[in-house]
Amino acid sequence: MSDRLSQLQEAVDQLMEQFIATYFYIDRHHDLKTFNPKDTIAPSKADQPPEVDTLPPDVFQAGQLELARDLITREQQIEYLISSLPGLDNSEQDQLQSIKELEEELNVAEKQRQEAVKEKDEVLVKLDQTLRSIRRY
Amino acid sequence: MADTEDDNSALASFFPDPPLFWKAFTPSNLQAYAEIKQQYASQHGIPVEDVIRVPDLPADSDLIYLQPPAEPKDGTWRLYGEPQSLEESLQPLESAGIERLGPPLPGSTTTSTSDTQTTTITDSQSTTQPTTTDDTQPTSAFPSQQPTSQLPLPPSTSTISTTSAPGSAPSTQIHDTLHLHLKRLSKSLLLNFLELLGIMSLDPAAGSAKAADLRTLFLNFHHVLNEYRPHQAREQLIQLMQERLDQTRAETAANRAVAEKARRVLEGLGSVEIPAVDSVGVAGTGTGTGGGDGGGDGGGDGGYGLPSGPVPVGARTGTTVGDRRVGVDGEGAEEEEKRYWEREGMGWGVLDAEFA
Repeated sequence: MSDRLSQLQEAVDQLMEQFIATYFYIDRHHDLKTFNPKDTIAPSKADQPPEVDTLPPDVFQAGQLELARDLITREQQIEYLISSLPGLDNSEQDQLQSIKELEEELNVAEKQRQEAVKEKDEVLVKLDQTLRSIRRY
Repeated sequence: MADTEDDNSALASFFPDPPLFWKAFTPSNLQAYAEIKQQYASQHGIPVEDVIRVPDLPADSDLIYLQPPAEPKDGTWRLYGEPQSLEESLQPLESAGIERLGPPLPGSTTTSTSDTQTTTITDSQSTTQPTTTDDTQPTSAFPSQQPTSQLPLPPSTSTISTTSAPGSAPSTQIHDTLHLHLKRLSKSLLLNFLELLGIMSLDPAAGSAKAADLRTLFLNFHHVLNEYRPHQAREQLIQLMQERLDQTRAETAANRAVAEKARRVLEGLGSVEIPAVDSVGVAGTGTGTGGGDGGGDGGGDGGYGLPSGPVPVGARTGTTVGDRRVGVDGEGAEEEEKRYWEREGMGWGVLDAEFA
């Protein structure tokens, strides 16, 4: 999973793609209107593909509704991602400060870890010796 | 003669010839270069592996081919016709010819051209009013925006004007502003798309301006996010370090717990097994001589059992002693044997209990 910033950028790119898809859907499937009673809709030429592929009004409406819903959902995703961006309440100085502190703590913890490992090894050796002596006996 | 032959083969060959300086890589040259490098490293007190380039080699020798060329002096070069820069930095929106909407992020690589940033936060129903910083911005490009900084505000809007150089405002407010700014941008995207559809249904020729607006909005969105990346990277580093710290501490605690447990086992064993350990020590030295004694003791005071170290060994092995011993203490040896296995069983029982 990528970080939230990349997710957000991807979501925005997808929104753009949805814009384009929606635009072309409407551009492709709208119906034709006349401006005044004398106008006629020219019949499409047989040797060319028709410019618009008019859908029945209810199908067109349903398609628009679906696309609009998708757009809104994507928008909500984007806003959710925005509000979940991490660390908005830390300034750069704070961050550097805490990085430094963490580094020191890490060093201390690492030393402690090594001591603990050493201690464990020593005790293990002792235990081992004891067990061996028991077996020998 | 040789030259013309070379030329002919260069023309005829399917693959291009290697670069001309390949002949400079002779063993003697490599040797000489390694010496020069070594000398340079010792002069400057750095390890030889860190020397990438020795600055002033004699220009007329072949040795200059043995090291990478120097960095370009002005920090830029061209690759496949594209200008490249040594410094990887985020190109400011303004220099890419894109209008900036909203305030620049504090600490970002971009520098503000105007000294005064006026941030206007509106509470009105129309949430699609992006922050405007610049009243020279053409208002026609974004009908949903107005340069509110210079206009009398309607009573329903509250204005927070922060006149600040970037970074001097309280950090929380800056980040709130960033949040708000991103949300406004995203809402502006939707609204501008709606407007684009409206315009295209009425006057398709006028749609390109709106499409350009959408483009500006998208670019701004991405730019703001990219400006935010260093912050995010630091944040992620902090998170990683925190995780590592927790992990290390958990490991330490686990190690200590195991050590503690093992020590307890040792103590538990110690209370049971110390005599046994002693008897082993004695047994090592005393098997040969003490066979008769031990046998007598073991038979006599079977209640104590333990002090008569040699006996169990003798009894078990049965090889070091003569006929006399076997004949005398057959019963005692049996008893010893039984006690030995009891002890052993107890020791392992303690162990089992500790490790369960």
